[in-house]
Amino acid sequence: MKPPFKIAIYTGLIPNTTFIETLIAGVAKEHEVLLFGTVKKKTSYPSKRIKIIDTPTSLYRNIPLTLWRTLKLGVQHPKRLSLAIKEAKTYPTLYTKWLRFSRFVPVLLHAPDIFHLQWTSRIDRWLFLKSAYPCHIVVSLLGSQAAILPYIDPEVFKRYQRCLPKVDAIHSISEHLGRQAANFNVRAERVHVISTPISTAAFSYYKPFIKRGVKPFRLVSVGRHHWVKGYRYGIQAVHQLIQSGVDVNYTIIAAGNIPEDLLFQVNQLGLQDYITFKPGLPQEALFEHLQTYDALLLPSLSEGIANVVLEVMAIGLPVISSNCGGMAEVVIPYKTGWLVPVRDAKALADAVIDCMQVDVEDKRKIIQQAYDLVNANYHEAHSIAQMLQLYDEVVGSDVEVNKV
Amino acid sequence: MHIALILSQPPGYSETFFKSKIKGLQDAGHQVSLFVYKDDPRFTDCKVLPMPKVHANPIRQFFATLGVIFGLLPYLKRVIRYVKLELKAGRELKQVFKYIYINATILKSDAEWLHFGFATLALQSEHVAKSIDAKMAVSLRGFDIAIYPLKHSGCYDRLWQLVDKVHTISDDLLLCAYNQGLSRNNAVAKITPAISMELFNTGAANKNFKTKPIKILTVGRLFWKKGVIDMLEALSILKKEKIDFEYQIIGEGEQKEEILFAIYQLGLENEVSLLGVKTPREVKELMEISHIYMQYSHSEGFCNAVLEAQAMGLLCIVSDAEGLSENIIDGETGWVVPKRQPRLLAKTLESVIELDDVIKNQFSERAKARVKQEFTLEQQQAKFVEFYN
Repeated sequence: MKPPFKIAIYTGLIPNTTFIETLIAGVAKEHEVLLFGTVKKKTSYPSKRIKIIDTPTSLYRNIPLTLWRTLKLGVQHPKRLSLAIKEAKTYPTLYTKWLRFSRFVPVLLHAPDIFHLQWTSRIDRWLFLKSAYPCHIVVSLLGSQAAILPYIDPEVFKRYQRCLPKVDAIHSISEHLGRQAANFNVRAERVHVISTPISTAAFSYYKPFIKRGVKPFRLVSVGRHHWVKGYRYGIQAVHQLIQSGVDVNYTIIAAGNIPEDLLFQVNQLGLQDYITFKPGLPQEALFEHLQTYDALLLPSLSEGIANVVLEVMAIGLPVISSNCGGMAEVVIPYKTGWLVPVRDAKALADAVIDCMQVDVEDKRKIIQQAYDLVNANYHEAHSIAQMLQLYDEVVGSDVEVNKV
Repeated sequence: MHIALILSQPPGYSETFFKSKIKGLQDAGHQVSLFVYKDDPRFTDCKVLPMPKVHANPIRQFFATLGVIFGLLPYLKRVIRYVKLELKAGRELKQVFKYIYINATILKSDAEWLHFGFATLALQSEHVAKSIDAKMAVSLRGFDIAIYPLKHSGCYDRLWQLVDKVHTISDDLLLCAYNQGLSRNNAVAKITPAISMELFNTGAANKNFKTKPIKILTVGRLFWKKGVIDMLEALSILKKEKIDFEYQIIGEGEQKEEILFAIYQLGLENEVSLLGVKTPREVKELMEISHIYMQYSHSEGFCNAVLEAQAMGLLCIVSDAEGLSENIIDGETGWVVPKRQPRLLAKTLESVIELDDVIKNQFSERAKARVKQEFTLEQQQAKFVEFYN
């Protein structure tokens, strides 16, 4: 049996979002997982292979801890320490120099075989690891850092062009995002499309479609409160539906304060009786709650592939989605759901009507096909196996080179 | 007469509304003082009295409270009256003490009128005027009345009972206040904003609409209520129609990221530019070289920039949000398009662009004339003098 690798799955914060936690648990079945960063909420893992290496933000706790780690690094790997100092010196203020240094030291001390960076935007901070020891860097192209930031900030675009070609592998969660890597001069063979792992739990909630006799038609959106989620288009669509006498209501489930603009929009359009804002729910409760709706609305402006869409497909809820990012890879019109142009409230409203009026047998088929698609391609077992294979390839390629 | 204005901070250099109001009242022989939560030493037009600060440090707060208590000793009668009024209105004693601290500066004033510059500023100070035997006025300006109460239902109930006179900048905002419980018997006065004709003046010459491409302009904070995304979506339709245009937005704000992404996603990088904040003089210069001014807000008290654009002879296309449909007379001095409908906005833009230059000039001249007649600082000053009589 191969010895396990030491793999750092890095976001800088602990704990992480659900899909990263699913990845951590999956990878830990074969390898040692190191979680570097700041512990925001006390977290523990049943697996002994998952190790948290906390770097607190409070200076009063951080300084003694980092000094101790520095001492150890200095004794064990003096060259790595001098590199950490050299790298930290490139940052502008004393505080940022210290902040970066205190994050570099634990990574250099534990020297993971693979440093898997989950967020792309600060790739420039970690490239130096490759010169410190035989480190393999994998970067995930996820969310706004891959699909928005480089296109609205020329600095970030240049940074990606400079740094991304130097990493060992790029992981993308959709074909669409994978193709974007070409914009940053990354060769196609370096890009590995591996979908987000959808946990087994979600699939256990699946129910085949049964027509509900009760009105109104209940629409739901789930996500954080952020402009990129495009809720205002969802609200505008509901306004059009109500104006045309269609009996619908719409619930937006999102953690955090309700943004002023959405609250104002609902009031201005007189939709107080038709639109409800609900706070976020823990995953199990959410899955159960989602089964009380007739369709999921995803009016987003940008997505990799929205996890919530994959999850509701696993649960058995019809999906009406905007055609942004990689959504078209899972929402196939009249096969697995309804797909409409982005920023188009009228098209969303028309799709809702279509979803309401579609023949029961056809709807049952669409829901079943959506389930089959997610089950075949996005089940955690499948995605994690692919990720493990990617890690093998990345480290393996090095072994091959060494042999030669 | 001594008139006290309560504002969050002294008016800045470009805030002609308050500055001209103060000057007008002073010229009419009134004494004006300004109570502010945050002082700005650059402002010297009248006496400025800062309100007591709330300190995070408990030691500083202790000494500040001590100072306020000693300062209020000669005004004990007023303070007692204030406490009685507050307790009668059902406020908890702890809250009352907090409010005495906040309102200490005003409680010492001999003003005959207390005028709160925004309705939100009167919250927690509703009984102060009565305690010092002054009359209370409040201005309805936009956000305070159209948006703030959505998250704070019933927040103005006390204010509506106690206010002596309400100033609104548009009929629509007044309607908002009525809908939120202001009595229709309350004394009100509508005084719209006004602009300086000295700066925003094109002279007698007609605007030249012949130059290409069509230049469109918007001035406003990059903030959701300004409807920038709707405007960009409308412009993307124009681009598909192969209409040649340039669009510039003057302003900064928290919605910038969303706006930049919309520009990218709608493929408008070559047509649209965000210019950031500009001085009034620079705004005027940009208006001089632009043809169309667009203000497609979701919510807008009245909008000075639309007045300035009209004075500069631009063709103005606005939404029907609150005061905007009073600012522009639809089909006469510009075009009012129902809000939140980018397709409709695009259609209007197209039809305006296609108009004959003679017609364009007629709109431009009518708008200029109306602003010159109805929205001058002198008129505004006279109306404010009248307001307190």
